[in-house]
Amino acid sequence: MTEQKDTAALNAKSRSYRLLWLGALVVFLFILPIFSGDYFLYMVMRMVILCLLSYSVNLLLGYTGLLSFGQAGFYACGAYACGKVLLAGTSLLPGVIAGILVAAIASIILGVFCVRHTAIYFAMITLAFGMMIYSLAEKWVSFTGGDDGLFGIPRAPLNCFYLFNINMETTSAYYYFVIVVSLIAVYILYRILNSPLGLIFQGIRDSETRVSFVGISVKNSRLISFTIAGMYGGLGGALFAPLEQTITPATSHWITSADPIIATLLGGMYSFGGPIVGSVIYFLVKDIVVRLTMNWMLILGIIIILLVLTFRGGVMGALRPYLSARVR
Amino acid sequence: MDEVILKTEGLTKLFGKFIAVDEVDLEFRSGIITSIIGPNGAGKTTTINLLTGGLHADKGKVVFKDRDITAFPPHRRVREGITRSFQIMNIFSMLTVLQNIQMPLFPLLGKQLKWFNAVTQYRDVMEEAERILRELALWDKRERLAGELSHGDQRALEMGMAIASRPEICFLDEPSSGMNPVERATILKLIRRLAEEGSTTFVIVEHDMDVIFSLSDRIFVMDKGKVLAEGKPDEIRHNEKVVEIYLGEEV
Repeated sequence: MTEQKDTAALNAKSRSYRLLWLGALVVFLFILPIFSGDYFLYMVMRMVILCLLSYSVNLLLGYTGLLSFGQAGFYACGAYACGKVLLAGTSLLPGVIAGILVAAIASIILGVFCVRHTAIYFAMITLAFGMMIYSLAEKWVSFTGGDDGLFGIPRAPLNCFYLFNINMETTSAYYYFVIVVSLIAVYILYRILNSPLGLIFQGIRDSETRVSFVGISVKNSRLISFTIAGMYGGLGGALFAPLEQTITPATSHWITSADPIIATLLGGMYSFGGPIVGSVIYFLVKDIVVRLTMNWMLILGIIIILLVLTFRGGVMGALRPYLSARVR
Repeated sequence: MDEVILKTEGLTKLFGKFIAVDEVDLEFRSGIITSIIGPNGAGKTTTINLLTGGLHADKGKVVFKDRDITAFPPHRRVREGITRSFQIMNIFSMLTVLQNIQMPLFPLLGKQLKWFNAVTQYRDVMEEAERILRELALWDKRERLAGELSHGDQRALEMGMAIASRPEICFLDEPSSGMNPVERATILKLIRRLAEEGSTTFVIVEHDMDVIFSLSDRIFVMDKGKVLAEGKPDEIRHNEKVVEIYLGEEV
């Protein structure tokens, strides 16, 4: 009994520290435009978008036990859908919503096939999907612009039924939009992962047989996880399109899927904070190495191998003994 | 009470050319603790897998309350009221003890699609989980990871997960395996109590003859995929075929 009381007290304390760090991060993100230039804000937005894509990967990998090489496909669906809608002349919100919806539809359609399979078969099917989207983006010239892609995507104003109309053309304005939308998205995902549905995902990761023998359909639950992950990938793409104002087929290449996988592994795939930490580290390391050497791919690869070997459970896994009070 | 709730008709399972379960006809009556015994490789666990949906039958039927459930997958059979524990431990080792017990409560209490509120906010789930864990003497260990429990506690947890769904019939595959005498006594007492309450019918696969003969109202003996004999414990104890093939000498 005393052990449980001690654990509860320590867990409450570590929760308070986590909330403190989170609060500090949110405040930092909101005051950043005051003392940063446009390029730094652009970099932070790229990091945040990578975070969303990493959450998309981590929901499947860390929480449901499924490795997907196709999240770039949903990212591209979101980006192209948002781009097309914005080019048609709408405001910003319909574009972003269109991106999420198209990615959701694509993930449901693909999910019906691939959630019947696990492990290597699931990974291969998702990889094939990503390459199919890449091929479609390249070849469907009339719709996607082919190799040239979509360009001149406007950073349309944010308005809502004439209640407000906010100009998004400045980097700082769009930055705040990306931050607010991403924080809401991350919060929603946090709620999902702590809900009964989130626990079911983790149960599937641990033992899908046991999940089916407690009366829960593994296939249906996997499909829900896959769809949510696809929506987060689509959201990342939908935020990316107005940022870059250009979308090319490279958005859907499987290498774009590899980035969030590496970021998730670096940060820690069994931790909610892992994708954030991993995305920041990966983005910064990549950005620095690219500036320093022509052989950046080789150096980056070596650094990542060293980081993964040093932090076996990711950075958050290494920090867990200091953050968590669970009695062992 | 004493009505047939689950039966099989000509149930058969092949692995290649090997006949693991050979046209087996079984009947399980409500309120009666039934055991299935037999030497290793007799087909006991394969039969349980066929009854609970872990394997698809090649021939024959599984009928539950006059309904053919042969094609039902495991999760549907659980919703019908058929659950099981596993011979080889099958718990959520990376989740806490509490989370393990909460999992079967989600479909029972209609919570499996709830996605916004934390699990802790569902009072019915939390209260029922506490009741079950206290019954299993695991409440004090609720925050521990299930994978870190002792073998006996893991077995108790697994059984808890099997009964948490309030099944009509529950298959326990070697429930007391690896337990010390105190743990075994707790589990057997729980099985007996639930069986007497009439809420759950138990079917037990065991190698421990003391457990079998002290607990069972009826025993099926399997050998080489077939039902060799069935009857009350005393009848089985004195059955010559059973003694010769399985028990070795009269018990």
